[in-house]
Amino acid sequence: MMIGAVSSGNLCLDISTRRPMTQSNSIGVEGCKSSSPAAAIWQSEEAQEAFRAYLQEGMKNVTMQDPSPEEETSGVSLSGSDIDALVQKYDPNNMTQQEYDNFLDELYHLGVLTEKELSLLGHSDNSDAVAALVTPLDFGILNRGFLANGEDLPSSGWQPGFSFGAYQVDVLSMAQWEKSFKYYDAEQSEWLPSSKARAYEKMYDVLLTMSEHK
Amino acid sequence: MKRVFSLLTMVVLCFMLAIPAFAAEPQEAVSVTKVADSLLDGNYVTSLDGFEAFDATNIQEIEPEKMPMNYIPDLISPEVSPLSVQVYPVIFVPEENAGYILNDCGRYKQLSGTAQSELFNLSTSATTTYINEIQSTMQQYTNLTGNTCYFIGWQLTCKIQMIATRPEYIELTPTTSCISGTDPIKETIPPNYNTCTYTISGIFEPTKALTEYQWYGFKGQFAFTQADGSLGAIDVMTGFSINCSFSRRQL
Repeated sequence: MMIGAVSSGNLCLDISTRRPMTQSNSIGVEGCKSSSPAAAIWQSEEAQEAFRAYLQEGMKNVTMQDPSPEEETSGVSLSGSDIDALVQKYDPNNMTQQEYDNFLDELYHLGVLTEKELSLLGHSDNSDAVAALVTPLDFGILNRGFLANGEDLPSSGWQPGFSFGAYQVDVLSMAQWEKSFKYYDAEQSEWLPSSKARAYEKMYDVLLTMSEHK
Repeated sequence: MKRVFSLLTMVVLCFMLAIPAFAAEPQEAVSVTKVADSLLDGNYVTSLDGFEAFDATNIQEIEPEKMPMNYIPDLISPEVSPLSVQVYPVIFVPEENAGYILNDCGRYKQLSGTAQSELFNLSTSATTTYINEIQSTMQQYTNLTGNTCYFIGWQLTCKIQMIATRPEYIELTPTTSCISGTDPIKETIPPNYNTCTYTISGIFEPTKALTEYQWYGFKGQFAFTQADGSLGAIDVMTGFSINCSFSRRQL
């Protein structure tokens, strides 16, 4: 097992000492000699090239319409009793990650959200340690701008979410912020909400109704 | 006495002659800097120095026939400023042919929001701490999966705020170290987006050893139509730097 680093520079760090290794050791994946196994960041032009090919392929196949509209739930409106039950359990302006996950699960079971949307909305799958550690690259956001009208953004501005270590988050404001961003569709010559923004909009509608029922 | 009177009359006549000449000055010299509700009724509050306090009794109207045909006053001064920069390390796992970001190694910096060009700068010691943290997380991944993973670089997400009465477009070019593409990215802004936020992401690879200073990011221009109908633009730059010395922090 090894850990590698792709760099055009010559960094080769010893994880035990937390210091760069000597120049003579920094000669590539096979040549980076370390006394402790799996203990260094490695250089590898091969891995860099492989990543570039992977990235190019991924960006070529990206579509902003994923999930496709037919896969999305639409027009699911919650009854008053559903909203009341949610209001009893969750505060739209203050949730922990666990509460947020539970809230998303409930919306999924009520048919408001799809499984794919749970991931887009930042549901943390605690059953999988690897999934908690890393997130697959989202090719859809790379080298592509997203625009939001200032009038649509929350007056409180952007606030750090769970991924930045925030323990409690104003989910209503977070959803309002995220749902406002649009991407430019060259075919239709207009700004359209991304699939992530559409997912946040569905959640925002529920949260807004909940806050009005409080 | 007669001489004095003649002299005064001459001065007054000269002054009166100068008034039409001043009125015929190009309208660009007049800038609309204050806005009141009365503006909607067609009244303009004008000031030459730009800092004159609003005085409703001192409203100076611009006569329509003296204005260019396409003259529309600027209701807001155009501005562009980077708001925030978010950084995640990117790794590649050849055995899975997959790239990932490390969830717990994100860094976020809320910028001042008052400068055209601003970076999220990590000092040398902060960079070392960050690299160690990344190494440790990569080690965890390797231990969990048994797969080799390689550090590729950084995924940057930059937010930029733009303000203009008539926004036109924003054009940003990633630095050459952007491996997700270096072509300029140009977006036309809808006319009603007077205050808007633009978010853009890219993956950047180190250009030197990770112990040296380097920066990654986007630079370009925000364009807008000015009051006289001409196109104006303001430069903008934002991104992330590592091993930044104190003197480089304020770019």
